[in-house]
Amino acid sequence: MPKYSLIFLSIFFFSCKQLKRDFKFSVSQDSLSVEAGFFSKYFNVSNNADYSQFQGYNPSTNELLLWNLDTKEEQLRMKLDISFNDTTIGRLFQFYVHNPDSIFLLTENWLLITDTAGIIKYKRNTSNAIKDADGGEVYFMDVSNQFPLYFDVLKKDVYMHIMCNCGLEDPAFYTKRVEAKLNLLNGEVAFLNYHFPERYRKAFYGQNVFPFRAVNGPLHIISFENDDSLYVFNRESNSLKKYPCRSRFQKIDFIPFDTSFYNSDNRINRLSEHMTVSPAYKKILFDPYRNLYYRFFLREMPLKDDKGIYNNLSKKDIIIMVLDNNFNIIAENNIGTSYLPYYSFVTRKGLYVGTTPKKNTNPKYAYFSIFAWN
Amino acid sequence: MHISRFLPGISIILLSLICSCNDAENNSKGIAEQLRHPDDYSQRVNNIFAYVHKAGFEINFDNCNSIYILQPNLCNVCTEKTLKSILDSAKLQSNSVVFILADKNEAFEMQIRSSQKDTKVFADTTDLLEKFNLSFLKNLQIQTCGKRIVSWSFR
Repeated sequence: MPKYSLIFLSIFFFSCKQLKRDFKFSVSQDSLSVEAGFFSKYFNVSNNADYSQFQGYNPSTNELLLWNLDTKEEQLRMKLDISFNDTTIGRLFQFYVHNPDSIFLLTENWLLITDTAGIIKYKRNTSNAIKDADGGEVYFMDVSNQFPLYFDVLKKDVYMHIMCNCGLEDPAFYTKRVEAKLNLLNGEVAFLNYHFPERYRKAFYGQNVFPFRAVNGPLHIISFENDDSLYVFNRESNSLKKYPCRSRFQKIDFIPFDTSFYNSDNRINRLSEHMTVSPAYKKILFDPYRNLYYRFFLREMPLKDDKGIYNNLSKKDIIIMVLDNNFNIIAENNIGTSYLPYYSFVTRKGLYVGTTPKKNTNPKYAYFSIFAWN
Repeated sequence: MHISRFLPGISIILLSLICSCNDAENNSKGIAEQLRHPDDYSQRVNNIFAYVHKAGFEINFDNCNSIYILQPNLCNVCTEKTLKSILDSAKLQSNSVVFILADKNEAFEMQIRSSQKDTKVFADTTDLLEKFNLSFLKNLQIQTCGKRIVSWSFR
């Protein structure tokens, strides 16, 4: 009898996919003399074979900046000839510098490819909604580079986030697919065969509805804010796999947003309270130097603290989940509240996470902690 | 093979699973309940008197005041456009006008002072707004008369 119980218990424990490994975890500090304006919502870090490159856009100066994160040297600073205040161009959604000859700019109305000389090499009008595979209307767009534009140079395919031509509160938003590819040679658009998780069609989760995506070879790894699983789409085999990836720090289920508040004057504050209280998964990053993935999780918290003071988003515990290349959770670290997970990226040194600037620090620098699991 | 052989083992596993699921569900409901609080923020706005006293700002509550609590560093909350609209409406006020900035912001301070010379401008440098639950994601306008709140609204 005890033998069988042991077998069942073993099955139970292994099914949790929490594999413990003897990982050495270290934290160090670093600062980068990149002007704060370039750490806008558009920033990107590209990891190529030789080095990690910071790519920033400063909206107030309309400049692009490329910076070598390994040598800490500026590589390129250029003022764009294009104005995003021009309504025919439209606001900038995201950009990606593949190389100095191929600078991708996705705006409200155009996908443009330009170069350092300012010559437009490719343009496609994206101002009209396109019919998606299910008959709905979608646009190429992203909110704050949560879903970086990806270029498959061999096939000349650009992979971009698509969003429904409807509001977040509209259930139709969550029936749409999430990503599409545009072939630069023939202009054809194809929709990747994956959708929002089922739970989003049953309840509304306020502002916790945005997907985050990382790419590793043919794998597109998607982290939804209100779903503990990870979704991995293989663009070569056109297949989707779901991996359990719940943080051990998550003690409650995701809380739907009370839609009766949606049209009230207090909506913004109610949405903020909802985000403060409900747990949420955030950015997913691939570390090509260690073959690991990092996923951020913001733990749930009560609306008020013990003294009756309202909590807010900046008081949420931030957890870094570390996954191996089979998407098993191999470590989880609660790094506390004084970090900015949005400002995170990977270099050879490890995972950089922005820190809230301390008093008396030089405002010309951006400050980070580097987390490394070796 | 009889399933009964495994019952004690299965029972323990199932029980632990059910218990942990129930806990998560109960906790979830408990926290979700907190979000349904009936407070329309009036109770929080009422803290303005205690806040001003603690912060040591010189505001005479015996008279009528229009107090604006601005969030200069919150994206899209206090843009130049919204500040201009607030300053335009403040000019029409017959009450004393007071601005409290949630963060120190010299540009905003200068703009307010150049628009209205007699206006009092304070900055919440000690983060007391948060401690008095007066920190919101929107700008706030409070009308007071005789140590009472007459009206308030988000701007």
